Amino acid sequence: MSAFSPADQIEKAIIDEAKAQAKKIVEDAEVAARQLTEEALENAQSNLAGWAARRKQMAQGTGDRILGKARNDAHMRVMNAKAAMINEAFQQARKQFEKERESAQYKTFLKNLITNAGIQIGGGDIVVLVRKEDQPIILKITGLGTAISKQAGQTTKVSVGKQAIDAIGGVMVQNKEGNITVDYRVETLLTQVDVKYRNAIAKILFPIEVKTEKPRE
Amino acid sequence: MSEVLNGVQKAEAEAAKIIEKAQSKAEEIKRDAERKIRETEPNVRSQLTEEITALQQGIEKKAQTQAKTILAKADNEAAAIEEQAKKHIKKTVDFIVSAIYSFGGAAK
Repeated sequence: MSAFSPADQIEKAIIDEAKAQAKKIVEDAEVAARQLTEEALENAQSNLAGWAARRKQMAQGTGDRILGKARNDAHMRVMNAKAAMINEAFQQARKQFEKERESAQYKTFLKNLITNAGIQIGGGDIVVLVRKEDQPIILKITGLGTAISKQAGQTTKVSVGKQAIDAIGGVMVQNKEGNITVDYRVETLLTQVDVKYRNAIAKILFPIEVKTEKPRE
Repeated sequence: MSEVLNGVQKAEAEAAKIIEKAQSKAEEIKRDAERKIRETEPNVRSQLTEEITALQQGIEKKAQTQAKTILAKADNEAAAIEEQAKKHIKKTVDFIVSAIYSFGGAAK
């Protein structure tokens, strides 16, 4: 036999049912809340995925740019070191050439330059311009006109211009009219040597190849 | 009989309070969830920003370290090139001078 009266049992049933309903209301609310917050998180992650990917790509790009610049700078440092040494060789060659201006080889050199220039001009009346110091040398050279006439096929008369050239050596040769000039000044020849023999000079100066960090394409 | 009815009414009143309390609790849960949902995207963005910033700093630091190594190596190479060139400069100067003379080679 129950300890509760029928009235008590009815009251208890009402309360128990209310408690069960209350429990369900709270549980349903919790489930719904959980689902909504999970969905919100998934949506947010999905919405921001592209943005995050772009930011990561930018970060990677920054690293690539730093490395790219370093490779370029490294390449330039090595190239500049080579260029500086080649320039140094040219400077020393210039000084060495200046020391040789009293030699017989230099006199022959001037004679041959004038002859070659005269032939290029095509002979005729030609004027030779040289340094003031070289003018007596030129005046002593004989047979220039004959040599040029023979090759150019035209009677040639060579005269030394009064105007001196500003150069470390060599000659400038003009026709009488002054509209054709062959520039054989040593400075000009040095430039031509640089252009023509740059690779050969580099091979002599740097016979052992030093591995360099080349910039990536 | 009225005693029983009275008891049932009291029970029903109490039950209504229990339900009302539960509904209030459910509303509170719903409000909390809505607040969390509003904060979700900014929170995720903030968290991702922190992660990406750390990643970027890591990438930059690594790149800077590698860049220093590359440049130090280049400086060593430049120094080696200079040393090598000093040993061969005499020969090179002779070559350049003879190349100048070659322009005044025998007339054709």
